[in-house]
Amino acid sequence: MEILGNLFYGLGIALSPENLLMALIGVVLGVAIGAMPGLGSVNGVAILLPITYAVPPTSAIIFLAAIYYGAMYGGAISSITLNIPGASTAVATTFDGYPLAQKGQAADALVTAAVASFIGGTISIVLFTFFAPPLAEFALRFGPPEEFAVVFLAYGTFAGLGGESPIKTLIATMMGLLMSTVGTDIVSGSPRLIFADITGFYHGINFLVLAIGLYGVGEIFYTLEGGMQARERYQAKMGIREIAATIRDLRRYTTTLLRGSLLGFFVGMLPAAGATPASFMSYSIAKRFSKESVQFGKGTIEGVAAPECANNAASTGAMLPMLTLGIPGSPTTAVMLGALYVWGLVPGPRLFIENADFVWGLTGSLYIANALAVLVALFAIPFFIWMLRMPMTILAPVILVVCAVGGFSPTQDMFDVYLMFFFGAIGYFFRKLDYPLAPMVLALVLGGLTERTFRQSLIISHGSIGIFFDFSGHPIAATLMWLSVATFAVPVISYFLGKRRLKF
Amino acid sequence: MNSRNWTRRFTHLWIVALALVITAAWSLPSAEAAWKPTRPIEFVIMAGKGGGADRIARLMQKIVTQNNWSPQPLVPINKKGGSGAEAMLYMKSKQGNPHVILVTLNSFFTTPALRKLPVSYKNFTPIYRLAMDTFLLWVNKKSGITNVDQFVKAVKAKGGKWTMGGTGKMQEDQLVTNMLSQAYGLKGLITYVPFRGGGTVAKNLAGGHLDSTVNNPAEGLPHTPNKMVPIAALTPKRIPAFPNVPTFAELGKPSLVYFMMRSINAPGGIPAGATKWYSNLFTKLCNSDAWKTYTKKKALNRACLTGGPLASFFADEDVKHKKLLKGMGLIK
Amino acid sequence: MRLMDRAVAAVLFLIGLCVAWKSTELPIGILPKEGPGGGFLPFWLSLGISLAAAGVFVQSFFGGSAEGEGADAPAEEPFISWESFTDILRVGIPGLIMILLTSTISIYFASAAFVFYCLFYVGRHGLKTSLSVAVGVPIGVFFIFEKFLIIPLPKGFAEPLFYLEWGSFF
Repeated sequence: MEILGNLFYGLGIALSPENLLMALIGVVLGVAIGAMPGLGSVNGVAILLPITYAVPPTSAIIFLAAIYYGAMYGGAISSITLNIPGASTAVATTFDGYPLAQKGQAADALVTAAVASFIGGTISIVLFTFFAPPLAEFALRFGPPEEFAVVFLAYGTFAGLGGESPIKTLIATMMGLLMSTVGTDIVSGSPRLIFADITGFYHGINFLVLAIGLYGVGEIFYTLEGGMQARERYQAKMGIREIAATIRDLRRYTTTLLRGSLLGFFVGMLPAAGATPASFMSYSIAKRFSKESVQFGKGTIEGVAAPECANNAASTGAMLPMLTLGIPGSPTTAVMLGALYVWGLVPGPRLFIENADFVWGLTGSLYIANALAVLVALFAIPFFIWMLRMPMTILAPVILVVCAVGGFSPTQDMFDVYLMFFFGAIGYFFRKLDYPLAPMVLALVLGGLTERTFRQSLIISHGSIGIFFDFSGHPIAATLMWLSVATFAVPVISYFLGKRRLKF
Repeated sequence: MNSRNWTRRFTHLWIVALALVITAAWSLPSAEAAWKPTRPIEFVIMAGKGGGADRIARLMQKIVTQNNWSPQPLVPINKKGGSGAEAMLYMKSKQGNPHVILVTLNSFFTTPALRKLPVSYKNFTPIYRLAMDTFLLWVNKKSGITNVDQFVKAVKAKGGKWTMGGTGKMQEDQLVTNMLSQAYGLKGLITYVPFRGGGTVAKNLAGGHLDSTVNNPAEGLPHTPNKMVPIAALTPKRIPAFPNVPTFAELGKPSLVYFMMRSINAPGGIPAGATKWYSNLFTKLCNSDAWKTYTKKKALNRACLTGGPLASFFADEDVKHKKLLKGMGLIK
Repeated sequence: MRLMDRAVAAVLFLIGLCVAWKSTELPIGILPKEGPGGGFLPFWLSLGISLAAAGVFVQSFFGGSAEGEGADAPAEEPFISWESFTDILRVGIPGLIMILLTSTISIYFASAAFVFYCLFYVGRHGLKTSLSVAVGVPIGVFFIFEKFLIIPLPKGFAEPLFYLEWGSFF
């Protein structure tokens, strides 16, 4: 097998002492940056890019990939311990991770997140190693109608995220979509919903601002209700034995992990979709098929495993179109693509031939970085548990300050910090009144892509909606569309057939 | 009453005196020595992370950092809102601040005109022009089209359903599309489909979802020559990376020339010393080997320009773009 | 609880109408050969929010069953007790003040003051703990963000202070 030979060659490059050191530093930095609210992998990679200028491209990409992986793990840490998603990819991890932490099982959740990520990442890397070029061909077949169909399918999974009241779920979803329309209308190029001519609206409502506001700041308000002194933080225990037990326990969820990883890889590979929808889809599919689906949202290990394996799998998947086609599958890979150009490499099929050292060194390092990341994450767990033991009266103000800094950093605009505080208030009211928050966040993430691909498709088809259902012209789109129609229809039909226990 | 008034006046006097002393102390050294940045330099980019302008900015950051040309770090800041409107308004609010510079594209001229912004190129201090990016007309390989005549025929045959992809609306790609359809009498026959980035546009052409594009060379290169092919260049001379692709001038349409500039501007009203310092910095950058290799690899035109010629270049470009927009009926 | 539910629904209803009105700046209809115009999505979404909010409002009058609260839920549980409300305000308002002051007095001074206030007055920690955390947080933020990640944070009037330091120490 030629590929195996190449792979060992790549592993050899990745295992050279200086590259190993780069990977280790990258992973540690990545975990730290990912755990900080506001700074996900995108900002991590962009900010640390200058550090790579001093080393050769192969070491540099190894460093960036390590940051990317580390940040994916780190995001889960703040999701679980503080209910603040470090990045959009980690939002779904809060659903069960935080309830677990509140029950005193933070360590279990953290271990699960690390191991599930490792599994997702590894499966994805194996697929990447063996099938990169043919899969790139496949990804090329996704134009606007196909992309819209994928997103549409993702909406089918919203059903799993709702609260008790369907009408309130609807409101939350529509609010998220509405927020995604603020800024510039891509199709006409005109400014849209710029209230009171505030420049801060020009760049649209940043996902992180909403997520940190709703979850982070809102959570603090919610906690304050009991008075800061009154709240006793839970005790969490942690040791090698607990870790081993949790890992052994994970075997029960093999199907969930496998499904989530495959799903993550394929969704991540499609340009523009990325890891966030993948993690949501994996979560709600796991919920639908789980034997313990009532436990979802109340703190179950499976609810942490599902999104975490998917988002890591997707982050590897997103590298595939970046290297083979020169199109980024996620915002982070967009920055890495920039780096590629800076180093004078041209992505595309020829990269695999002309810069084999680079490509196989990177592939090898993906295996190494993934393994290192799980180790670093496991070693970091005691530190985060220690942090959780701090009294709320110290933790709450510090978190608020970090949220403010985190909200400011990506756009350098104080307006975003004001907006974040405002979303904190909304988050507080919505939580108390049973409006679900997750659909709002996911709708904001998907909204722009949905509208854009839908309208691009219609411009291409001259206004005919038939483009989405045309089996001869767009077979992939049509298949996906009918599949999503079925996804929507099944719960509705079963509801009317009287199976009321099937919640959606 | 009187005495209190007097005391107050006296206090005021003290404050004024103190302020004067402080200002003097502050400005003396900078007036004597040559200007040098004393704080990190904000490097504002009028596009999102990973976009074309972002890449260029981060490359410049790399070259400057590697060669230790600046005593202070360059800090890239993305202000992507409103096709550059956000970045330009931000720069205007930094009037007189020598520690902020902006990487500009052609939206430097089009956005203020289209949006009726209270800012224009005149509010800036021109620093440097580093390169001019070129445009080519591309088609999918499978279409079998190899020259412009076939292209025109194919567009007409499709009866208004021919699609042309490009980045954004009313920006460079659409201006070029419009120039093309005017020159070849294809008005109303080409449907322009806006996308978010040039890479995505190229990918959609390569995947057969679009009929044609006017991508920059760097965007099309990953898919050439197996998926998409250039059929003509919007340059006065052939692009060295594509020696077999004719220019529109060769095909009898000399008016079909369009470039995208990559230049650097500072806010208006900065000290003359600062302008000089930046100008020197970017002269070094533009003549560095790293920049030469990069422009060659990406088939960019390295085009170093500064000082008075740059100012008149900006003025010309502004007039040119206003004329183009007027021709499209987008502004009056 | 009911009262607040209705109040929030009413506010959402009004917000929906405002945004719908704002959306009409762009075409809200279906354009020929192009599909929906730029205002289409925001317009109908905000109208939808208004409509759904009206639904929530009406629903709140018809018992808890539709809400999923169960008929036996106490109908007049207050949304929040006065003590809890003051607990929130005691941190919320200073938090807001911190954010509003950030651009004038720098994130460093604002956060130090806020952290000290929270620890000393609200949390009733000792002076030593309060002071050390209040000084430690801005210093930590400075080194992580400003020094290591090179992200400039708002400094307000304190800006010159930081650059004297830049030149002389590093």
